[in-house]
Amino acid sequence: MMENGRLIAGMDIGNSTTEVVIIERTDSGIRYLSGAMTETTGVKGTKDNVAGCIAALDEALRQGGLKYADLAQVRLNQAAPVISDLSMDTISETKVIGSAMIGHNPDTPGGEGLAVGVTAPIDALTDRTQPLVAVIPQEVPYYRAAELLLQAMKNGVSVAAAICRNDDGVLIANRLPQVIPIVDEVRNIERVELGVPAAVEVAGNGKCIQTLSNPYGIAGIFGLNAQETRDAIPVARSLIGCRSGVVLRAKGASVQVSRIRAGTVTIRGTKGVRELDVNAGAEEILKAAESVGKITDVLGEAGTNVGALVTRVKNGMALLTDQPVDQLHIVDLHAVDTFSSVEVAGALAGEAAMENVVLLAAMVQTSALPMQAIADELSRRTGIFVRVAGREAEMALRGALTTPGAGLPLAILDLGGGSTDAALITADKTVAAVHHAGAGEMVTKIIDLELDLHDRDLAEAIKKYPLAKVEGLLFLRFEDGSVKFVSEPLPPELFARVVIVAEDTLIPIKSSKRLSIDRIALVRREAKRKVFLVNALRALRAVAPDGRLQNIGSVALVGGSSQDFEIPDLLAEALAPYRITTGRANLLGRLAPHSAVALGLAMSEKAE
Amino acid sequence: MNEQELVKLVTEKVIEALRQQEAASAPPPAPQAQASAGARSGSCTGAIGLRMTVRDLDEAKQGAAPDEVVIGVAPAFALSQVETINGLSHSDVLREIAAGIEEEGLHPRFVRFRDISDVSFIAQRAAKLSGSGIGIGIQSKGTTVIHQKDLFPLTNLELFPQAPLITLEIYRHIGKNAARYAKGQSPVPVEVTNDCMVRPKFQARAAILHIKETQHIVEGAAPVELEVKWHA
Repeated sequence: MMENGRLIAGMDIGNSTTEVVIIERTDSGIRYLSGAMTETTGVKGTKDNVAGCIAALDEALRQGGLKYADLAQVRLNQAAPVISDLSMDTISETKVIGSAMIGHNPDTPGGEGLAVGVTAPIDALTDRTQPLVAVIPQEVPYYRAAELLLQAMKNGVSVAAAICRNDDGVLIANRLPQVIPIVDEVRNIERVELGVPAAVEVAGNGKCIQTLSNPYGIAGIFGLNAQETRDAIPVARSLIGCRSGVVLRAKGASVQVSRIRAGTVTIRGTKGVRELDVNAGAEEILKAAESVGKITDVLGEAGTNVGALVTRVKNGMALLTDQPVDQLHIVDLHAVDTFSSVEVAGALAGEAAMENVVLLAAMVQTSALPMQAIADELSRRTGIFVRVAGREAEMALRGALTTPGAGLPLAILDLGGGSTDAALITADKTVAAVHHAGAGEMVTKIIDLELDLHDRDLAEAIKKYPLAKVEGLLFLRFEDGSVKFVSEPLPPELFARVVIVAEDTLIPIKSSKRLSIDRIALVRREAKRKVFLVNALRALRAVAPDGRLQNIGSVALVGGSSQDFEIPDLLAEALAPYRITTGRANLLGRLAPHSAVALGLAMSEKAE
Repeated sequence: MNEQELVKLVTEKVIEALRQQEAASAPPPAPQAQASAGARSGSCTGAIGLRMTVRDLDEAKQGAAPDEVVIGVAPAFALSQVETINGLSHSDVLREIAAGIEEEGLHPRFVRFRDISDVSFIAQRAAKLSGSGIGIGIQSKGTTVIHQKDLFPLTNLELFPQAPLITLEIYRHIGKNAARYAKGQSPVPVEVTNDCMVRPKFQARAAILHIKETQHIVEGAAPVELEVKWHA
């Protein structure tokens, strides 16, 4: 059907999607005809990809009203032979020994204020010589507890506060003539020691306790000396941010916060070798990685999580390329500090502490993936000439350069799922490219951990879409405060919930953790900063002339995560001080940035 | 045979059996006469000896307080029937629902619906009367629904269809969740157990209890405020 032009398809097999762009080449230039995108079938770089390639090709041809015979050539990407994976280590642990403290956030504690007394069972409130803290077990219902407290008060006993097993704090407080602090939902109340001094504090709505979360506050109440005050620091620390808390001064009771051994990691580089403990934290690991120059390999201590991570990525690549494992080397490592909710050992109310976690991403590289095998198979099945043409980074640059307003020199940032890649083309058309471990998957993992979701799909959806709250069945309020009305009532299961506004559905976030819209949005943005911002700067520095970001000029964003609704803005903001123009690539002035590699392949001249 | 057909069949059989019983004995007093005999009141005693008295007052009004949750009860609740299908006293059931609402810092208001025994409609109309727009509907046999005023009657926020499996802890949780919806929070729905043997085991009894409740319907009667008191 085309008389004067040659039709060429560029095909980009990515980790998650396969994209096809068909263009017509004539002497005067190129013309875009059609394009398509499908899920990648199988692991990138294996023959399983062919099914997805054909699906994408068929769809692109259908869109353009074309058939196989019209195509002169299909050009396949020379995929960057890198794979990456994640590991996670919890490196701190909080342990309560004896009945030292209760610090938790029951939804509805009773009363308000701070009170000190000696613990006594609810049915034996007889001591008139000192203030008492009533301990109310499960079998005493709220109205009976209130009666007993009233009775004791009438008998001249000073009841200063109460600790209660059931969720009855407000119910009991409502039935008393005076306001006393009541901490409820203490699951293991039978372990609260009786006859010992205790301080009970309940903060008002929207506030946190002030005195018991302060070591000097605890010292003042119990008359502690300097050494004892130091020992009270873990107690105070574990009460920070709680709406209610109890500190008991029982013999031998304490709170311990210790660091867990998580194994050592050995980083080998061109400038030396560094060995350090994973629980030194992300900052130290990243510093060590930088100090060894270009990383040549990473080893993890056998039998630890980091050891398993190293083995896993190497084995994965060995399987893919049929190379022996000992010839594969890890070329990049990224570390992020995060935290995760872990139930406190020995806790009286089942409270959880946010323990520190180090997340590691490692990447292994080989000489080449067997792309030629895919090309041969594809050619056999379609009858079209298929060739492997050009490195991904160069093709992406070529595609990105079709963006109106872009010119040499140009850098691209390819924000993917497993890796963050950067490439730079200078005025004399030399290309530098790097691949760094840590990208979208790592962000998802951080969101999952920090929000305590235990649901990867939900975390992934939170990463990708903005949030809203269904305030009424006929309207929702978005995280930026804007309101949208709907004509049909929303499904009742969305009522009063924070929802993820995906393309055509609302996904409710069901969590017992009382996650507010602000908290979720904050965790999401911080996760993106920790991974993409840190990695983007790292990658750009690696390709920048003289290692100076100021020498880059402009950056075009390509890859799946470049279409994220906030990452481009986060990056643009962070790169502005280096006088760098940052934006999503706008291929040929009309195509989305994820097609950059496919377009670059179709256009490449070297392949002629 | 699908579920609905089964329910229909069982209901028909039960009604038939009841009719035969009634034909054999003396005709029962017409529900109309019973209902119109002055202000109605009843009482029942809970498992641990707490006695509850209820009294129908004037016509129920539309509430304005945003911190109330209306609990709508069916025509026979705490009157001719005083316990749920699994033997929980209506005194304990109402106390636990009310306690759940109070613990969350809101106030329960009780309303009796006299012209309907369908729990979805009771719950939805309770929600419409409620200042917060959230209502709870409960039948004498214990089936419970949490509703919101803008929803269609046959949808709901949370439904507890298997009354034989509802415990007092669950009734407390139902009250708490209703109050949280009223506060605009997003509670995790109450976990309910599901037992496939409940249907065959309780189907006949459930049908009879529902029919008995339905017999107390007074066509066209307005909902009334219900005074509820507990005595030690």
